[in-house]
Amino acid sequence: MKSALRSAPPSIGPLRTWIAALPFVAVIAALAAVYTSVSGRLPEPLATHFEADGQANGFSSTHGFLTGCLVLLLVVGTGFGLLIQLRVPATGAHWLIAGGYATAAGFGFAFCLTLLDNADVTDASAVRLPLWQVAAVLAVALVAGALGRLLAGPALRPQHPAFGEAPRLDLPAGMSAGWSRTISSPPLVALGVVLLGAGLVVGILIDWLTSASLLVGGAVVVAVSSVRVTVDRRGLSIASTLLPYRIRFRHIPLDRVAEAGSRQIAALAEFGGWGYRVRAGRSGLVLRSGEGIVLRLTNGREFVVTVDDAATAAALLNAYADRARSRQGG
Amino acid sequence: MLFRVDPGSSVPLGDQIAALVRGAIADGSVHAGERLPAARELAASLGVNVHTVLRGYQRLKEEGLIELRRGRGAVVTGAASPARARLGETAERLIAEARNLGLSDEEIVTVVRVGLAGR
Repeated sequence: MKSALRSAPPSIGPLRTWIAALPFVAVIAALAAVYTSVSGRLPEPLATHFEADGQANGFSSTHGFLTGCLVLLLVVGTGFGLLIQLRVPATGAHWLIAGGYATAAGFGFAFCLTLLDNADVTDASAVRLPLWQVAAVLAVALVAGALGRLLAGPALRPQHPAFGEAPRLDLPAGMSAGWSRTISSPPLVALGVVLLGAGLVVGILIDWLTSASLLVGGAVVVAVSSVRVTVDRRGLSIASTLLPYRIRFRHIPLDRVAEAGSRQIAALAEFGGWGYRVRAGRSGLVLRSGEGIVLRLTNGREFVVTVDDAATAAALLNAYADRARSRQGG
Repeated sequence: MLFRVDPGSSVPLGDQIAALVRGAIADGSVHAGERLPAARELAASLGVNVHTVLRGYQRLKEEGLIELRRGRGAVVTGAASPARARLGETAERLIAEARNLGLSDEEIVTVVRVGLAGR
């Protein structure tokens, strides 16, 4: 039964990976073709950077320029490829592909234009970049993005995995129960500590106003990285283990819980990462992949929290929710 | 871990809580180093008096199963092995059986002492 509850992230397939890689390959080929056609007519060095008025203000050797272009395209292309392979987030893959097309075409077109503008010029400082070319680069990027979006195919519907079983804990009238467990995420603790450290260094060396965002961010990450999840007669609550237990950063009262279940949660594929995640129709605290409590709320949304022994917590929550409902009904 | 208590039972609530933790350590569902909820927190969860929970935690502390840290709640000690927790359960059974027979506390201790002297 457990394997049936395991969510299968929507598959993307090798075809999509090829579609995503295509623009980067095409742009490198186009750049090579343009270079061959103008290679005999280029000044040395090339004008490669321009001011707002179109005047050249940056120069580099032809060899350096071409290597830089190639490295940039390969790095960005690999980055997009990795993101798509990791399916981050699964349902946004078509937009990721569109973004890849726009980026590849924008960079590629700008590089080609730079080479063409340099052609037949003896002194690189005389090279001009007309404003219309900047607009053309943007337009080409937009058109390529739209093309990528079309090629990527229909958007993957977010597949809400099966809700899972909703067992009841045996809780005879008069008995009282509470479930409590801590969960922490060492990578998030490390991230928080790094942010706090960076905030201190920036504060001491530069100024405290700049470091404030780092310090606040670090404090929030550290607070969220280790929590105690409690389920009892009042509902479900999540509190940082580092702060007094009265300071809860999420409390869901019983009357908001339609049903509780537990299932395997895939942090990256379902929520696109770790931490407090908000997605269409659902949110939750995802500190790792694996077992988690899943609440279906009365407003139709889903709330999840990854924690061990989630089935017991869900069963207790259901027992208390039943009790609360029968009290209201009777 | 799950705390399930029955206020209607003849067993005091504090002892019920101690028995639950002991049982969880004995069956391996709670490990050394794990933090139990603070007494106030657990009391609020179960709707019982905080002193009731503290009485249960105090027993566990005396058995060497948990360590109580001010403001940081209760932590299962490194010495708290499943076997150690089962020993506590065995002692509970011995006491319950002796009480059923109508033995006084002194007599129960004597029974254990005689057993030890025989070795």
